[in-house]
Amino acid sequence: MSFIFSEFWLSLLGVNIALAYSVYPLAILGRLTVAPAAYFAIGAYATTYATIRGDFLLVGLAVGVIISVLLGVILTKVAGHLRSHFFVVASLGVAMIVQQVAFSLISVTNGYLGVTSPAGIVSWWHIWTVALLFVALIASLDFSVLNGEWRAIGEDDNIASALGINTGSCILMAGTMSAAMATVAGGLYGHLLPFFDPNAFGLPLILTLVASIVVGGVGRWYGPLIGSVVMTSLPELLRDLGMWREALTGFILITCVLFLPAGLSDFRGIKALWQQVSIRGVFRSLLS
Amino acid sequence: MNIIFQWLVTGLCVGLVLALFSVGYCIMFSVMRCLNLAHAGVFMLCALLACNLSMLPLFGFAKHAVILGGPIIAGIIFNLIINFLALRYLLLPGAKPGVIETGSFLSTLGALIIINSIGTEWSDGKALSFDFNYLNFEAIYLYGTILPVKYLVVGATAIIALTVTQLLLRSPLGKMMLAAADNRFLATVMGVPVRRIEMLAMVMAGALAGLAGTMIAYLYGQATVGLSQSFLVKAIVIGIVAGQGSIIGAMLIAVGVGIIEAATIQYFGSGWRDISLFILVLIVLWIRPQGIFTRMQRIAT
Repeated sequence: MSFIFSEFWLSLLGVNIALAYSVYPLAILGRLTVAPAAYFAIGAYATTYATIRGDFLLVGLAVGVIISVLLGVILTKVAGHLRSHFFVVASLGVAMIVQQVAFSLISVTNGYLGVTSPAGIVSWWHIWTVALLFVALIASLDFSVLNGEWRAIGEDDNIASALGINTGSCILMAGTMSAAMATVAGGLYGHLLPFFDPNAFGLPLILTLVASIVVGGVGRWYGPLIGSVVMTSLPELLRDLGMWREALTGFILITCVLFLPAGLSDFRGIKALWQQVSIRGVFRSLLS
Repeated sequence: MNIIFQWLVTGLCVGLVLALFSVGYCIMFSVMRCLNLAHAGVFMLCALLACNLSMLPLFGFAKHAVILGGPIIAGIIFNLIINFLALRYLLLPGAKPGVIETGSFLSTLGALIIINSIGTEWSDGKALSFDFNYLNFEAIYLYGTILPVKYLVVGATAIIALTVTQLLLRSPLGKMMLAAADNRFLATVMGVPVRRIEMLAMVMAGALAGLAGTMIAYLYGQATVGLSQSFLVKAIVIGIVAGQGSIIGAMLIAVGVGIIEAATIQYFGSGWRDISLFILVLIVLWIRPQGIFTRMQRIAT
Protein backbone atom coordinates (compact mmCIF):
# COMPACT_ATOMS: atom_id res chain seq x y z
CA MET A 1 0.00 0.00 0.00
CA SER A 2 3.04 2.23 0.11
CA PHE A 3 2.31 3.60 -3.38
CA ILE A 4 -0.50 5.75 -1.94
CA PHE A 5 2.04 7.98 -0.24
CA SER A 6 4.29 8.38 -3.26
CA GLU A 7 4.25 11.84 -4.75
CA PHE A 8 3.95 10.59 -8.32
CA TRP A 9 0.88 8.51 -7.59
CA LEU A 10 -0.82 11.42 -5.82
CA SER A 11 -0.10 13.71 -8.77
CA LEU A 12 -1.38 11.14 -11.26
CA LEU A 13 -4.55 10.76 -9.20
CA GLY A 14 -5.05 14.53 -9.26
CA VAL A 15 -4.66 14.68 -13.05
CA ASN A 16 -7.03 11.74 -13.51
CA ILE A 17 -9.65 13.38 -11.29
CA ALA A 18 -9.37 16.63 -13.26
CA LEU A 19 -9.69 14.70 -16.55
CA ALA A 20 -12.67 12.64 -15.36
CA TYR A 21 -14.49 15.79 -14.26
CA SER A 22 -14.10 17.26 -17.74
CA VAL A 23 -16.41 14.54 -19.10
CA TYR A 24 -19.09 15.30 -16.50
CA PRO A 25 -20.78 18.40 -18.04
CA LEU A 26 -21.57 16.65 -21.32
CA ALA A 27 -22.32 13.32 -19.64
CA ILE A 28 -25.18 14.75 -17.60
CA LEU A 29 -26.59 16.12 -20.86
CA GLY A 30 -26.92 12.51 -22.04
CA ARG A 31 -23.91 12.83 -24.32
CA LEU A 32 -21.06 10.62 -23.20
CA THR A 33 -17.89 11.95 -24.81
CA VAL A 34 -14.33 10.74 -25.27
CA ALA A 35 -13.13 13.98 -26.91
CA PRO A 36 -11.41 15.08 -23.63
CA ALA A 37 -8.62 12.67 -24.62
CA ALA A 38 -8.00 14.96 -27.62
CA TYR A 39 -8.10 18.17 -25.55
CA PHE A 40 -5.82 16.50 -23.02
CA ALA A 41 -3.26 15.87 -25.76
CA ILE A 42 -3.57 19.46 -27.02
CA GLY A 43 -2.98 20.82 -23.51
CA ALA A 44 0.03 18.57 -22.91
CA TYR A 45 1.71 19.49 -26.21
CA ALA A 46 0.91 23.22 -26.03
CA THR A 47 2.36 23.68 -22.54
CA THR A 48 5.41 21.52 -23.21
CA TYR A 49 6.11 23.44 -26.43
CA ALA A 50 5.95 26.70 -24.48
CA THR A 51 8.17 25.60 -21.58
CA ILE A 52 10.77 24.00 -23.86
CA ARG A 53 11.05 27.31 -25.73
CA GLY A 54 11.53 29.04 -22.39
CA ASP A 55 8.14 30.73 -22.24
CA PHE A 56 5.87 30.80 -19.23
CA LEU A 57 3.64 27.71 -18.82
CA LEU A 58 0.43 29.75 -18.69
CA VAL A 59 1.11 31.18 -22.18
CA GLY A 60 1.10 27.67 -23.63
CA LEU A 61 -1.94 26.79 -21.56
CA ALA A 62 -3.85 29.80 -22.92
CA VAL A 63 -3.02 28.88 -26.51
CA GLY A 64 -3.99 25.26 -25.85
CA VAL A 65 -7.30 26.27 -24.28
CA ILE A 66 -8.12 28.49 -27.26
CA ILE A 67 -7.36 25.70 -29.76
CA SER A 68 -9.31 23.05 -27.92
CA VAL A 69 -12.29 25.31 -27.19
CA LEU A 70 -12.47 26.01 -30.93
CA LEU A 71 -12.38 22.26 -31.54
CA GLY A 72 -15.04 21.69 -28.89
CA VAL A 73 -17.30 24.32 -30.47
CA ILE A 74 -16.89 22.65 -33.86
CA LEU A 75 -17.72 19.24 -32.35
CA THR A 76 -20.83 20.49 -30.58
CA LYS A 77 -21.97 22.38 -33.68
CA VAL A 78 -21.49 19.32 -35.88
CA ALA A 79 -22.76 16.59 -33.57
CA GLY A 80 -24.46 18.37 -30.67
CA HIS A 81 -27.94 17.41 -31.87
CA LEU A 82 -27.05 13.72 -31.58
CA ARG A 83 -27.22 11.56 -28.49
CA SER A 84 -25.97 8.28 -27.04
CA HIS A 85 -23.62 6.28 -29.26
CA PHE A 86 -23.76 8.73 -32.18
CA PHE A 87 -22.14 11.42 -30.06
CA VAL A 88 -19.61 8.95 -28.65
CA VAL A 89 -18.54 8.02 -32.18
CA ALA A 90 -18.27 11.67 -33.26
CA SER A 91 -16.09 12.48 -30.25
CA LEU A 92 -14.05 9.33 -30.86
CA GLY A 93 -13.46 10.75 -34.34
CA VAL A 94 -12.07 13.98 -32.87
CA ALA A 95 -9.84 12.01 -30.47
CA MET A 96 -8.44 9.82 -33.25
CA ILE A 97 -7.87 12.77 -35.61
CA VAL A 98 -5.96 14.71 -32.94
CA GLN A 99 -3.82 11.66 -32.15
CA GLN A 100 -2.97 11.19 -35.83
CA VAL A 101 -2.15 14.89 -36.19
CA ALA A 102 0.13 14.55 -33.16
CA PHE A 103 1.93 11.72 -34.95
CA SER A 104 2.28 13.77 -38.15
CA LEU A 105 3.06 17.29 -36.80
CA ILE A 106 6.69 16.53 -36.04
CA SER A 107 7.85 20.16 -35.61
CA VAL A 108 5.80 20.51 -32.39
CA THR A 109 5.26 16.98 -31.11
CA ASN A 110 8.44 15.24 -32.32
CA GLY A 111 6.25 12.39 -33.67
CA TYR A 112 6.94 8.86 -32.51
CA LEU A 113 10.08 9.93 -30.65
CA GLY A 114 8.08 11.90 -28.08
CA VAL A 115 8.95 15.06 -26.17
CA THR A 116 10.90 15.48 -22.95
CA SER A 117 9.35 18.11 -20.75
CA PRO A 118 11.46 20.24 -18.36
CA ALA A 119 11.24 19.05 -14.76
CA GLY A 120 10.42 21.04 -11.65
CA ILE A 121 7.82 23.37 -13.12
CA VAL A 122 4.66 21.67 -11.87
CA SER A 123 4.57 20.17 -8.38
CA TRP A 124 1.92 18.04 -6.73
CA TRP A 125 0.18 20.90 -4.99
CA HIS A 126 -0.41 22.73 -8.31
CA ILE A 127 -2.13 19.62 -9.59
CA TRP A 128 -4.23 19.17 -6.47
CA THR A 129 -5.26 22.83 -6.43
CA VAL A 130 -6.59 22.47 -9.97
CA ALA A 131 -8.26 19.13 -9.22
CA LEU A 132 -10.02 20.44 -6.11
CA LEU A 133 -11.03 23.57 -8.03
CA PHE A 134 -12.68 21.39 -10.66
CA VAL A 135 -14.42 19.30 -8.00
CA ALA A 136 -15.71 22.52 -6.39
CA LEU A 137 -16.83 23.85 -9.78
CA ILE A 138 -18.80 20.72 -10.61
CA ALA A 139 -20.23 20.48 -7.09
CA SER A 140 -21.44 24.07 -7.28
CA LEU A 141 -22.90 23.31 -10.71
CA ASP A 142 -24.76 20.40 -9.13
CA PHE A 143 -26.43 22.72 -6.62
CA SER A 144 -27.14 25.54 -9.09
CA VAL A 145 -30.12 26.34 -11.33
CA LEU A 146 -28.27 24.93 -14.34
CA ASN A 147 -28.34 21.44 -12.88
CA GLY A 148 -32.09 21.04 -13.37
CA GLU A 149 -31.95 22.36 -16.93
CA TRP A 150 -29.02 20.16 -17.92
CA ARG A 151 -30.47 17.01 -16.41
CA ALA A 152 -33.78 17.74 -18.14
CA ILE A 153 -31.90 17.79 -21.46
CA GLY A 154 -30.21 14.56 -20.39
CA GLU A 155 -33.62 12.92 -20.00
CA ASP A 156 -35.14 14.13 -23.26
CA ASP A 157 -34.08 16.89 -25.68
CA ASN A 158 -37.49 17.59 -27.18
CA ILE A 159 -39.37 17.83 -23.90
CA ALA A 160 -36.65 20.07 -22.46
CA SER A 161 -36.88 22.49 -25.38
CA ALA A 162 -40.69 22.41 -25.13
CA LEU A 163 -40.28 23.52 -21.52
CA GLY A 164 -38.39 26.58 -22.74
CA ILE A 165 -34.82 25.44 -22.15
CA ASN A 166 -32.37 26.60 -24.80
CA THR A 167 -30.92 23.20 -25.67
CA GLY A 168 -28.32 24.41 -28.16
CA SER A 169 -26.72 26.96 -25.86
CA CYS A 170 -26.64 24.51 -22.93
CA ILE A 171 -24.83 21.92 -25.06
CA LEU A 172 -22.43 24.55 -26.40
CA MET A 173 -21.66 25.72 -22.86
CA ALA A 174 -21.07 22.19 -21.61
CA GLY A 175 -18.86 21.38 -24.59
CA THR A 176 -16.76 24.52 -24.08
CA MET A 177 -16.41 23.82 -20.36
CA SER A 178 -15.37 20.23 -21.03
CA ALA A 179 -12.74 21.36 -23.56
CA ALA A 180 -11.23 23.98 -21.26
CA MET A 181 -11.09 21.67 -18.23
CA ALA A 182 -9.51 18.78 -20.13
CA THR A 183 -6.88 21.10 -21.64
CA VAL A 184 -5.82 22.34 -18.19
CA ALA A 185 -5.57 18.72 -16.98
CA GLY A 186 -3.44 17.93 -20.04
CA GLY A 187 -1.14 20.86 -19.36
CA LEU A 188 -0.46 19.46 -15.90
CA TYR A 189 0.00 15.92 -17.24
CA GLY A 190 2.60 17.11 -19.74
CA HIS A 191 4.83 18.26 -16.89
CA LEU A 192 4.06 15.37 -14.56
CA LEU A 193 5.81 12.80 -16.74
CA PRO A 194 9.39 13.39 -17.89
CA PHE A 195 8.53 11.98 -21.32
CA PHE A 196 5.45 11.28 -23.44
CA ASP A 197 4.54 10.46 -27.04
CA PRO A 198 1.22 10.41 -29.00
CA ASN A 199 0.60 6.79 -27.95
CA ALA A 200 -0.22 8.11 -24.47
CA PHE A 201 -3.41 9.70 -25.85
CA GLY A 202 -4.80 6.70 -27.73
CA LEU A 203 -7.32 4.01 -26.89
CA PRO A 204 -5.86 3.07 -23.47
CA LEU A 205 -6.44 6.61 -22.18
CA ILE A 206 -9.94 6.61 -23.66
CA LEU A 207 -10.67 3.27 -21.99
CA THR A 208 -9.51 4.53 -18.59
CA LEU A 209 -11.55 7.70 -19.04
CA VAL A 210 -14.74 5.89 -20.00
CA ALA A 211 -14.22 3.27 -17.29
CA SER A 212 -13.77 5.88 -14.57
CA ILE A 213 -16.92 7.73 -15.67
CA VAL A 214 -19.04 4.58 -15.95
CA VAL A 215 -17.76 2.99 -12.74
CA GLY A 216 -18.24 6.22 -10.80
CA GLY A 217 -21.48 7.28 -12.42
CA VAL A 218 -22.72 10.80 -13.13
CA GLY A 219 -25.78 10.83 -10.91
CA ARG A 220 -24.08 12.98 -8.25
CA TRP A 221 -21.11 15.35 -8.29
CA TYR A 222 -18.83 12.89 -6.45
CA GLY A 223 -19.27 10.14 -9.08
CA PRO A 224 -16.16 10.83 -11.22
CA LEU A 225 -14.13 11.27 -8.01
CA ILE A 226 -14.98 7.72 -6.87
CA GLY A 227 -14.49 6.34 -10.37
CA SER A 228 -11.07 7.88 -10.92
CA VAL A 229 -9.83 6.86 -7.46
CA VAL A 230 -10.88 3.25 -8.18
CA MET A 231 -9.48 3.25 -11.71
CA THR A 232 -6.15 4.85 -10.72
CA SER A 233 -5.48 2.70 -7.66
CA LEU A 234 -6.59 -0.69 -9.07
CA PRO A 235 -3.70 -1.00 -11.57
CA GLU A 236 -1.25 -0.22 -8.74
CA LEU A 237 -2.87 -2.63 -6.29
CA LEU A 238 -2.93 -5.43 -8.87
CA ARG A 239 0.59 -4.94 -10.14
CA ASP A 240 1.39 -8.63 -9.58
CA LEU A 241 -1.25 -9.79 -12.05
CA GLY A 242 0.72 -8.44 -15.03
CA MET A 243 -1.29 -8.43 -18.24
CA TRP A 244 -4.45 -9.65 -16.54
CA ARG A 245 -5.05 -6.44 -14.65
CA GLU A 246 -6.38 -4.87 -17.85
CA ALA A 247 -8.74 -7.81 -18.16
CA LEU A 248 -9.91 -7.08 -14.62
CA THR A 249 -10.59 -3.46 -15.66
CA GLY A 250 -12.78 -4.80 -18.46
CA PHE A 251 -14.54 -7.15 -16.09
CA ILE A 252 -15.31 -4.31 -13.67
CA LEU A 253 -16.64 -2.22 -16.56
CA ILE A 254 -18.98 -5.03 -17.71
CA THR A 255 -20.21 -5.69 -14.18
CA CYS A 256 -20.90 -2.01 -13.59
CA VAL A 257 -22.78 -1.54 -16.86
CA LEU A 258 -24.92 -4.63 -16.31
CA PHE A 259 -25.69 -4.46 -12.60
CA LEU A 260 -25.04 -0.86 -11.52
CA PRO A 261 -25.98 1.39 -14.46
CA ALA A 262 -25.82 4.50 -12.25
CA GLY A 263 -22.30 3.66 -11.04
CA LEU A 264 -20.73 3.28 -7.61
CA SER A 265 -21.94 6.73 -6.54
CA ASP A 266 -25.50 5.39 -6.53
CA PHE A 267 -25.48 4.16 -2.92
CA ARG A 268 -29.17 3.27 -2.98
CA GLY A 269 -28.64 1.12 -6.05
CA ILE A 270 -25.78 -0.71 -4.33
CA LYS A 271 -27.98 -1.34 -1.30
CA ALA A 272 -30.85 -2.60 -3.45
CA LEU A 273 -28.49 -4.83 -5.41
CA TRP A 274 -27.04 -6.21 -2.17
CA GLN A 275 -30.51 -7.08 -0.93
CA GLN A 276 -31.54 -8.70 -4.22
CA VAL A 277 -28.45 -10.78 -4.82
CA SER A 278 -28.81 -14.50 -4.29
CA ILE A 279 -27.04 -17.40 -5.97
CA ARG A 280 -30.29 -18.63 -7.48
CA GLY A 281 -31.14 -15.18 -8.81
CA VAL A 282 -27.75 -14.79 -10.48
CA PHE A 283 -28.08 -18.17 -12.21
CA ARG A 284 -31.64 -17.43 -13.24
CA SER A 285 -30.70 -14.08 -14.78
CA LEU A 286 -27.78 -15.64 -16.64
CA LEU A 287 -29.82 -18.55 -17.96
CA SER A 288 -32.94 -16.56 -18.88
CA MET B 1 -2.49 3.90 -65.10
CA ASN B 2 -0.88 0.85 -63.57
CA ILE B 3 -0.43 2.60 -60.18
CA ILE B 4 -4.15 3.39 -60.13
CA PHE B 5 -4.90 -0.24 -61.02
CA GLN B 6 -2.57 -1.41 -58.24
CA TRP B 7 -4.17 0.55 -55.40
CA LEU B 8 -7.64 -0.08 -56.77
CA VAL B 9 -7.10 -3.86 -56.63
CA THR B 10 -5.49 -3.71 -53.19
CA GLY B 11 -8.28 -1.52 -51.85
CA LEU B 12 -10.97 -3.71 -53.38
CA CYS B 13 -9.46 -6.81 -51.83
CA VAL B 14 -9.07 -5.34 -48.33
CA GLY B 15 -12.52 -3.79 -48.74
CA LEU B 16 -14.09 -7.19 -49.45
CA VAL B 17 -12.56 -8.63 -46.27
CA LEU B 18 -13.77 -5.52 -44.44
CA ALA B 19 -17.23 -6.17 -45.91
CA LEU B 20 -17.21 -9.70 -44.43
CA PHE B 21 -16.28 -8.28 -41.06
CA SER B 22 -18.68 -5.34 -41.04
CA VAL B 23 -21.66 -7.33 -42.35
CA GLY B 24 -21.47 -9.37 -39.14
CA TYR B 25 -21.30 -6.17 -37.11
CA CYS B 26 -24.30 -4.72 -38.95
CA ILE B 27 -26.38 -7.90 -38.57
CA MET B 28 -25.88 -7.67 -34.81
CA PHE B 29 -26.54 -3.93 -34.85
CA SER B 30 -29.81 -4.28 -36.74
CA VAL B 31 -31.18 -7.41 -35.03
CA MET B 32 -30.17 -6.73 -31.43
CA ARG B 33 -29.62 -2.94 -31.58
CA CYS B 34 -26.23 -3.68 -30.01
CA LEU B 35 -22.97 -1.99 -30.93
CA ASN B 36 -20.78 -5.02 -30.41
CA LEU B 37 -17.25 -3.63 -30.16
CA ALA B 38 -15.99 -7.05 -29.07
CA HIS B 39 -16.56 -8.17 -32.67
CA ALA B 40 -13.15 -6.68 -33.50
CA GLY B 41 -11.62 -8.68 -30.65
CA VAL B 42 -13.19 -11.92 -31.87
CA PHE B 43 -11.87 -11.15 -35.34
CA MET B 44 -8.36 -10.62 -33.94
CA LEU B 45 -8.43 -13.85 -31.94
CA CYS B 46 -9.57 -15.74 -35.05
CA ALA B 47 -6.70 -14.23 -37.08
CA LEU B 48 -4.22 -15.35 -34.38
CA LEU B 49 -5.81 -18.80 -34.36
CA ALA B 50 -5.58 -19.02 -38.17
CA CYS B 51 -1.86 -18.24 -37.94
CA ASN B 52 -1.33 -20.98 -35.36
CA LEU B 53 -3.41 -23.50 -37.33
CA SER B 54 -1.53 -22.78 -40.57
CA MET B 55 1.67 -23.97 -38.89
CA LEU B 56 0.23 -27.43 -38.11
CA PRO B 57 1.90 -30.28 -40.05
CA LEU B 58 -1.13 -31.15 -42.18
CA PHE B 59 -1.45 -31.63 -45.94
CA GLY B 60 -4.05 -31.44 -48.67
CA PHE B 61 -7.73 -31.24 -47.90
CA ALA B 62 -7.22 -31.57 -44.14
CA LYS B 63 -5.13 -28.39 -44.09
CA HIS B 64 -7.71 -26.36 -46.04
CA ALA B 65 -10.50 -27.67 -43.81
CA VAL B 66 -8.64 -26.85 -40.59
CA ILE B 67 -7.55 -23.37 -41.70
CA LEU B 68 -11.00 -22.40 -42.96
CA GLY B 69 -13.14 -24.25 -40.43
CA GLY B 70 -11.22 -23.79 -37.20
CA PRO B 71 -11.46 -19.99 -36.92
CA ILE B 72 -15.11 -20.05 -38.01
CA ILE B 73 -16.05 -22.49 -35.22
CA ALA B 74 -13.92 -20.55 -32.75
CA GLY B 75 -15.60 -17.29 -33.78
CA ILE B 76 -19.04 -18.80 -33.22
CA ILE B 77 -18.03 -20.03 -29.75
CA PHE B 78 -16.46 -16.69 -28.78
CA ASN B 79 -19.55 -14.79 -29.91
CA LEU B 80 -21.87 -17.08 -27.97
CA ILE B 81 -19.78 -16.49 -24.84
CA ILE B 82 -19.95 -12.72 -25.38
CA ASN B 83 -23.70 -12.93 -25.95
CA PHE B 84 -24.09 -14.94 -22.77
CA LEU B 85 -21.96 -12.75 -20.51
CA ALA B 86 -22.06 -9.20 -21.82
CA LEU B 87 -25.22 -8.70 -23.90
CA ARG B 88 -27.96 -11.06 -22.75
CA TYR B 89 -28.69 -9.23 -19.55
CA LEU B 90 -29.02 -5.88 -21.32
CA LEU B 91 -31.65 -7.07 -23.78
CA LEU B 92 -34.41 -7.62 -21.27
CA PRO B 93 -37.90 -6.82 -22.58
CA GLY B 94 -38.90 -3.24 -21.93
CA ALA B 95 -35.43 -1.71 -22.13
CA LYS B 96 -35.29 1.72 -23.76
CA PRO B 97 -33.56 1.92 -27.19
CA GLY B 98 -30.89 4.44 -26.22
CA VAL B 99 -30.05 2.47 -23.09
CA ILE B 100 -29.39 -0.71 -25.05
CA GLU B 101 -27.11 1.05 -27.52
CA THR B 102 -25.00 2.92 -24.98
CA GLY B 103 -25.00 0.00 -22.53
CA SER B 104 -23.89 -2.52 -25.13
CA PHE B 105 -21.23 -0.06 -26.34
CA LEU B 106 -19.77 0.09 -22.84
CA SER B 107 -20.12 -3.55 -21.80
CA THR B 108 -18.63 -4.86 -25.03
CA LEU B 109 -15.84 -2.31 -24.63
CA GLY B 110 -15.08 -4.13 -21.38
CA ALA B 111 -15.23 -7.46 -23.23
CA LEU B 112 -12.84 -6.05 -25.85
CA ILE B 113 -10.33 -5.10 -23.13
CA ILE B 114 -10.48 -8.67 -21.77
CA ILE B 115 -10.09 -10.17 -25.25
CA ASN B 116 -7.16 -7.86 -26.00
CA SER B 117 -5.31 -9.00 -22.90
CA ILE B 118 -6.02 -12.64 -23.80
CA GLY B 119 -4.62 -11.94 -27.28
CA THR B 120 -1.52 -10.27 -25.85
CA GLU B 121 -0.89 -13.24 -23.55
CA TRP B 122 -1.41 -15.63 -26.45
CA SER B 123 0.84 -13.96 -29.00
CA ASP B 124 3.28 -12.67 -26.36
CA GLY B 125 2.97 -9.19 -27.87
CA LYS B 126 4.63 -10.26 -31.12
CA ALA B 127 3.28 -10.80 -34.62
CA LEU B 128 2.36 -14.41 -35.42
CA SER B 129 3.20 -15.30 -39.00
CA PHE B 130 1.00 -17.22 -41.41
CA ASP B 131 2.44 -20.21 -43.28
CA PHE B 132 4.16 -18.63 -46.28
CA ASN B 133 3.81 -21.72 -48.50
CA TYR B 134 0.05 -22.02 -48.06
CA LEU B 135 -1.70 -21.32 -51.41
CA ASN B 136 1.08 -18.99 -52.46
CA PHE B 137 1.12 -19.30 -56.25
CA GLU B 138 2.97 -17.28 -58.83
CA ALA B 139 1.94 -13.71 -59.41
CA ILE B 140 0.17 -12.90 -62.66
CA TYR B 141 0.89 -9.86 -64.82
CA LEU B 142 -2.06 -7.72 -65.76
CA TYR B 143 -1.98 -4.24 -67.36
CA GLY B 144 1.74 -4.05 -66.65
CA THR B 145 1.37 -4.61 -62.88
CA ILE B 146 2.18 -7.57 -60.68
CA LEU B 147 -0.98 -9.04 -59.19
CA PRO B 148 -0.46 -11.76 -56.55
CA VAL B 149 -2.90 -14.65 -56.90
CA LYS B 150 -3.45 -14.36 -53.14
CA TYR B 151 -5.63 -11.33 -53.83
CA LEU B 152 -7.82 -13.26 -56.24
CA VAL B 153 -8.26 -16.12 -53.72
CA VAL B 154 -9.25 -13.71 -50.95
CA GLY B 155 -11.58 -11.73 -53.21
CA ALA B 156 -13.31 -14.85 -54.52
CA THR B 157 -13.78 -16.31 -51.02
CA ALA B 158 -15.17 -13.02 -49.73
CA ILE B 159 -17.59 -12.71 -52.63
CA ILE B 160 -18.80 -16.30 -52.14
CA ALA B 161 -19.29 -15.74 -48.40
CA LEU B 162 -21.16 -12.48 -48.95
CA THR B 163 -23.44 -14.18 -51.48
CA VAL B 164 -24.12 -17.01 -49.03
CA THR B 165 -24.96 -14.43 -46.35
CA GLN B 166 -27.41 -12.70 -48.66
CA LEU B 167 -29.03 -16.03 -49.57
CA LEU B 168 -29.31 -16.92 -45.87
CA LEU B 169 -30.96 -13.58 -45.18
CA ARG B 170 -33.52 -14.37 -47.89
CA SER B 171 -34.38 -17.78 -46.42
CA PRO B 172 -37.38 -18.06 -44.03
CA LEU B 173 -35.03 -17.92 -41.06
CA GLY B 174 -33.32 -14.82 -42.43
CA LYS B 175 -36.70 -13.19 -43.02
CA MET B 176 -37.52 -13.86 -39.36
CA MET B 177 -34.23 -12.17 -38.51
CA LEU B 178 -35.03 -9.10 -40.60
CA ALA B 179 -38.52 -8.99 -39.07
CA ALA B 180 -37.01 -8.97 -35.57
CA ALA B 181 -34.65 -6.23 -36.71
CA ASP B 182 -37.46 -4.10 -38.10
CA ASN B 183 -39.88 -4.26 -35.19
CA ARG B 184 -39.08 -6.44 -32.23
CA PHE B 185 -42.50 -6.30 -30.58
CA LEU B 186 -44.49 -6.98 -33.75
CA ALA B 187 -42.17 -9.87 -34.61
CA THR B 188 -42.81 -11.41 -31.19
CA VAL B 189 -46.55 -11.10 -31.76
CA MET B 190 -46.22 -12.81 -35.14
CA GLY B 191 -44.55 -15.80 -33.50
CA VAL B 192 -40.86 -15.09 -34.14
CA PRO B 193 -38.71 -16.49 -31.30
CA VAL B 194 -36.76 -13.27 -30.88
CA ARG B 195 -34.23 -14.48 -28.29
CA ARG B 196 -33.24 -17.46 -30.47
CA ILE B 197 -33.09 -15.26 -33.54
CA GLU B 198 -30.70 -12.97 -31.66
CA MET B 199 -28.52 -15.97 -30.86
CA LEU B 200 -28.60 -16.92 -34.55
CA ALA B 201 -27.49 -13.40 -35.49
CA MET B 202 -24.57 -13.74 -33.07
CA VAL B 203 -23.66 -17.12 -34.62
CA MET B 204 -23.70 -15.67 -38.13
CA ALA B 205 -21.62 -12.70 -37.07
CA GLY B 206 -19.12 -14.99 -35.32
CA ALA B 207 -18.73 -17.18 -38.41
CA LEU B 208 -18.21 -14.11 -40.60
CA ALA B 209 -15.64 -12.69 -38.14
CA GLY B 210 -13.80 -16.03 -38.13
CA LEU B 211 -13.66 -16.14 -41.93
CA ALA B 212 -12.57 -12.50 -42.13
CA GLY B 213 -9.83 -13.19 -39.56
CA THR B 214 -8.50 -16.09 -41.63
CA MET B 215 -8.59 -14.01 -44.79
CA ILE B 216 -6.74 -11.04 -43.25
CA ALA B 217 -4.07 -13.32 -41.75
CA TYR B 218 -3.61 -14.95 -45.17
CA LEU B 219 -3.59 -11.61 -46.99
CA TYR B 220 -1.12 -9.83 -44.69
CA GLY B 221 0.90 -12.98 -43.96
CA GLN B 222 0.78 -12.26 -40.23
CA ALA B 223 -1.52 -11.25 -37.41
CA THR B 224 -1.00 -9.01 -34.37
CA VAL B 225 -3.07 -7.82 -31.44
CA GLY B 226 -3.16 -4.36 -33.05
CA LEU B 227 -5.58 -5.67 -35.69
CA SER B 228 -8.43 -5.32 -33.22
CA GLN B 229 -7.90 -1.59 -32.80
CA SER B 230 -7.65 -0.74 -36.49
CA PHE B 231 -10.65 -2.90 -37.44
CA LEU B 232 -12.70 -1.60 -34.52
CA VAL B 233 -12.30 1.91 -35.88
CA LYS B 234 -13.36 0.78 -39.35
CA ALA B 235 -16.38 -1.17 -38.06
CA ILE B 236 -17.61 1.88 -36.15
CA VAL B 237 -17.12 4.08 -39.21
CA ILE B 238 -18.99 1.67 -41.49
CA GLY B 239 -21.80 1.17 -38.99
CA ILE B 240 -22.38 4.92 -38.73
CA VAL B 241 -21.96 5.78 -42.42
CA ALA B 242 -24.13 2.94 -43.76
CA GLY B 243 -26.77 3.33 -41.06
CA GLN B 244 -28.82 0.92 -39.06
CA GLY B 245 -30.48 -2.05 -40.69
CA SER B 246 -28.91 -1.87 -44.14
CA ILE B 247 -26.74 -4.91 -44.79
CA ILE B 248 -26.16 -4.36 -48.52
CA GLY B 249 -25.34 -0.75 -47.68
CA ALA B 250 -22.74 -1.94 -45.18
CA MET B 251 -21.12 -4.11 -47.87
CA LEU B 252 -20.94 -1.25 -50.35
CA ILE B 253 -19.59 1.21 -47.76
CA ALA B 254 -17.01 -1.36 -46.59
CA VAL B 255 -15.67 -1.81 -50.12
CA GLY B 256 -15.69 1.98 -50.52
CA VAL B 257 -13.79 2.43 -47.26
CA GLY B 258 -11.16 -0.09 -48.40
CA ILE B 259 -10.67 1.79 -51.68
CA ILE B 260 -10.61 5.23 -49.98
CA GLU B 261 -7.98 3.93 -47.56
CA ALA B 262 -5.80 2.53 -50.31
CA ALA B 263 -6.06 5.81 -52.23
CA THR B 264 -5.22 7.88 -49.12
CA ILE B 265 -2.19 5.72 -48.37
CA GLN B 266 -1.06 6.00 -52.00
CA TYR B 267 -1.37 9.78 -52.29
CA PHE B 268 -1.10 11.23 -48.76
CA GLY B 269 0.78 8.64 -46.67
CA SER B 270 -0.42 6.14 -44.10
CA GLY B 271 -0.72 8.72 -41.31
CA TRP B 272 -3.77 10.21 -43.03
CA ARG B 273 -5.68 6.91 -43.27
CA ASP B 274 -7.77 7.24 -40.11
CA ILE B 275 -8.14 11.00 -40.52
CA SER B 276 -9.86 10.59 -43.91
CA LEU B 277 -12.27 8.03 -42.42
CA PHE B 278 -13.20 10.17 -39.45
CA ILE B 279 -13.69 13.28 -41.56
CA LEU B 280 -16.13 11.15 -43.60
CA VAL B 281 -17.91 10.16 -40.37
CA LEU B 282 -18.17 13.72 -39.10
CA ILE B 283 -19.61 14.88 -42.45
CA VAL B 284 -22.16 12.04 -42.46
CA LEU B 285 -23.13 12.71 -38.84
CA TRP B 286 -23.58 16.38 -39.65
CA ILE B 287 -25.63 16.01 -42.81
CA ARG B 288 -27.37 12.66 -42.52
CA PRO B 289 -27.04 11.24 -38.99
CA GLN B 290 -29.25 8.21 -39.66
CA GLY B 291 -26.79 6.94 -42.27
CA ILE B 292 -26.64 6.98 -46.06
CA PHE B 293 -28.56 3.79 -46.76
CA THR B 294 -31.32 4.10 -44.16
CA ARG B 295 -34.75 5.06 -45.40
CA MET B 296 -36.25 5.48 -41.92
CA GLN B 297 -35.89 8.84 -40.19
CA ARG B 298 -34.78 7.20 -36.99
CA ILE B 299 -32.23 8.82 -34.67
CA ALA B 300 -31.71 7.50 -31.17
CA THR B 301 -33.49 9.81 -28.75
